[in-house]
Amino acid sequence: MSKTKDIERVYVEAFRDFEASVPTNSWERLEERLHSRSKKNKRKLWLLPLSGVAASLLGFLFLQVFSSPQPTSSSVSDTTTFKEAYSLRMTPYLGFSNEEVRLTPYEKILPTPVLPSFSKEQDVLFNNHKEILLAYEPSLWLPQEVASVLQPYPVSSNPLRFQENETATSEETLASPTKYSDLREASDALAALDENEERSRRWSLAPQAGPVYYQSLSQGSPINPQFSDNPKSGNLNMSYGLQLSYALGNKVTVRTGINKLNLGYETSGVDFQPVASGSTNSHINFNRPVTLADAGSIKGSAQSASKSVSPGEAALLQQIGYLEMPLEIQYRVGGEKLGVSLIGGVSSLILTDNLIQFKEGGFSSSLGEASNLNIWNLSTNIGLGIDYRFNRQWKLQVEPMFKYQWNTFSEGSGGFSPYILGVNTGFSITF
Amino acid sequence: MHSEVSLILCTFGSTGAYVTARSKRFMQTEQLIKGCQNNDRKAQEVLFQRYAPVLFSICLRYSRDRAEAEDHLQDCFIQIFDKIGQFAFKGSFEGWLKRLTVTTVLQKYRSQGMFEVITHEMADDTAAITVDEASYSLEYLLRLVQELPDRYRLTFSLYVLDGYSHKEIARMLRISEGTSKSNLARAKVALRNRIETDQQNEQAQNL
Repeated sequence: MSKTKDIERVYVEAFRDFEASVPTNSWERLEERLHSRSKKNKRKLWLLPLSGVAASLLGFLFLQVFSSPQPTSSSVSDTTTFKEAYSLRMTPYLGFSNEEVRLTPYEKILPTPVLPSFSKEQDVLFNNHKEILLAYEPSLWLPQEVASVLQPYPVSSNPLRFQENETATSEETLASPTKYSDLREASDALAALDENEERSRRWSLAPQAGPVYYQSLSQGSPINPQFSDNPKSGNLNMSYGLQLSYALGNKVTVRTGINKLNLGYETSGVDFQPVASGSTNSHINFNRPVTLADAGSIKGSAQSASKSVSPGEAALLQQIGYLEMPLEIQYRVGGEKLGVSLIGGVSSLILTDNLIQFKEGGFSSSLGEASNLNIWNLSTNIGLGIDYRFNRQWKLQVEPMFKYQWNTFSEGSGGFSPYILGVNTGFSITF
Repeated sequence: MHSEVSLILCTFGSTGAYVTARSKRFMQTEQLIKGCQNNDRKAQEVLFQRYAPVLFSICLRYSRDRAEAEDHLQDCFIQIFDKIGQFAFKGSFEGWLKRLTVTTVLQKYRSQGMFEVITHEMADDTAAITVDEASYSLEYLLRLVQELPDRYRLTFSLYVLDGYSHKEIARMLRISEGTSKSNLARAKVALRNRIETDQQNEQAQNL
């Protein structure tokens, strides 16, 4: 048994302190290059600002026209390209000439019938994981390795084997591969894919608008407890704003934004008298002396019937405006064009408008503002989204959302627990 | 009396000369770098002559043959002179030069297309690959490395000869760490096979 040594050690020891002798005219050649480079640089300096403008224009045009990589369809490839593009320098290992390796590599090492023979043309395939499904180095692969690479493909429609008119089928178990007609194109496409991955578009901005409907999950009135059993109808209002989202991956997006929410609802069956009575347990900062009463309770009273100006049905309109800043997570399933999402999150609400009006038969007058509205509160949101993508930049989204509001009233909510139902629609631009 | 004085003076003088010479040499590197930063052609030539041998040896073990290595050496020095303004005098200058050389050569191969092949994990890629303990000439070992397919050669040189980790190699070659380990294992197997084949041929010839 002769002594053996780890091949790594053999190399490390041999190459330690290895200083090669440089060819004698190296410096002269280098000096020439340096000289011509500095001349070129000086000449081109004044072109710099112009080229900057030209480059950005070209770049913009290029982006518009070639917004997505277009793989070319296969064509009969040039065998010489294959030879040039990939060095067949492994041939010394098996003693093959270049010709033999190129034409029928597998037949040489694997006479088994399982593997197809290559015809002259070589196609290069790779899948969405950017792995090339073609073995270039038969001499360095063991037979079982080759078989395992080809295994996912049914032998009948093996994409590594093709005649002139044959194309790859889509029976692959992996994501559908792209075919290129020669190695150069494949490597260029691979490099382009790399770059696209790196600067992939993750940010989106979407101006949004949509109707919102305000109601309460339970009975109660935050204006005055006597109105708790009065019918309340939610009003449909508009909300509009801007949404900013950042894609964390293919499916998950985190989003925020700013919205103006105009909410309102009406409490009907309210009566008012234009004098302030001693007691006021309405949570209103009145801007004029007024007393409110539940029309239902007044009806029976003869005394108030003479005093009230407007017997009968009238309503209180409470209008609330918020500036909303949501923070939501979106989970999207679907394809490139159409997708459905589940959205959940919270919003910060800041009170901007606060008005209570008295409405009667089309005539409304302002009574003042609610005294028990919190300036800051939260809502928890949940909703669905549907989006349709036109191209890499533009997308249409429609999102019905349910937002339950917390902490709306500082006191005397009277059991009124409001929620917001809205549908946000908008166009989103991705960059 | 004279001879003792002159002896002492000589000693001092030579010591002084030695010390001056050494500090001069040390100073020279800094001056050299600064000269190159100012595009002083003379400084650039001295830098080239001084560091070309070690950088050429790096090029040789990343390139496919000597001719290519010479071209790469030139390209590396162009890069060095371009980027020498960025050297902040922190850390080893030679280390900086070597790193720049390696990255320049790797870029040459990257633009030619480095393919990521599906690698079937080798059954036992952690086992040591050994060869007969004989003496192999540097020329021979170098030629073997140069004849490896590109990415095996690059991975092998980066890992074994320049001491980069698989993580760093993965980043530099834009492959996965697993592929890097696999490349290394395959390179070693290929080299071992080649050495053994050559040895067998030689023995057969000697019979």
